[in-house]
Amino acid sequence: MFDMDKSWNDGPRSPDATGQSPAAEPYARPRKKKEVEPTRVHPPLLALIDVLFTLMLFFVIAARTKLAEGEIPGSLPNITGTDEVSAEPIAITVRPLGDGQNNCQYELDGQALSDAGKLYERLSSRPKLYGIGTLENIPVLIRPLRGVRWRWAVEAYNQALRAGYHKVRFDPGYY
Amino acid sequence: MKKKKRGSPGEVGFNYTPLIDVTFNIIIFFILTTEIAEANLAQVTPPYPADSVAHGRVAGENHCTVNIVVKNPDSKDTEGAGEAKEYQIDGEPIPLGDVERLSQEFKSRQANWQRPAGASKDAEFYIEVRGDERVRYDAVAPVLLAAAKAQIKKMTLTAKKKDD
Repeated sequence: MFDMDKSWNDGPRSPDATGQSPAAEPYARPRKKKEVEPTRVHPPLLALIDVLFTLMLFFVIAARTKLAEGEIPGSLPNITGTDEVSAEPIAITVRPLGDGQNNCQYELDGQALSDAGKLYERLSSRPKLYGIGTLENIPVLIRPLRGVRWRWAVEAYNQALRAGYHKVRFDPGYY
Repeated sequence: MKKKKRGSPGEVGFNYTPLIDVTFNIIIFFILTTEIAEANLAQVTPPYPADSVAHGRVAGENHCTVNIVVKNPDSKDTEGAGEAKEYQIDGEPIPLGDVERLSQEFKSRQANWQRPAGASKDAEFYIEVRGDERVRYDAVAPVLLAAAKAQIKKMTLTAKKKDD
């Protein structure tokens, strides 16, 4: 039978007189293992960096700063048939002004208007002036004269839409 | 004197982590602030009307963008800039005032366009007039005439959006 007292209470054995190591004995204290340094893991970062740089290059080359551009909706006249006209159209004439025709003057109801703000005010106040109920069905025709810069024509178009008119067009007679 | 302990020769390592961090940040910046360049957009300075009512550009096949490009995009307004150079549709130049060719182009594109399944009845083909603000209306008018000849009913004018 197994002798419990002997196995637990004898304690560590010292080298005996013969100089023999006690390691050979059955219940000797186990030797302390040498500490091993943890292995360093090196993921292949170079491949990752390659991909990242390629992505970055793609974006740098193929992208441009977000456009602040938008679209102003409009319609085109039916020049082959006849357009339904529900009301007398309002005509805005855009006249070039200044050196190099860099400025313009708007004309509405025979009145010269020097800037877009005044044009907007005039267009907005028309219902009160002429006792018109709704602006939506009133056609507005933009008539840019020869030499007018595109920006002024778009300005007039924009102010008419802003004032609440829906049927804004460039007058086909001025194409 | 105490002899210095000789260790293994030190490894010279490059710390990649900040590099990757920076690169990721740059990529995220580009993703957020840019959009892929559209081939059909030429170098044009669109008009910026006061209190612009322009809304976001619509990407898709249901329209044809006509760019009206100036001859000298870098020159100042007072130096004779504003002379239109040509029209451009998808990078293809079309001579100024060539109403017939423009009209043919619009017709063929309209014919090739198919209304997507499930699209509303209002969805229709239109032209986008993307003119430089400096060109004269005389250069734009033929585009409108050609579109009207092609019996296109809708159009949009490209302009800068109002700052939010």
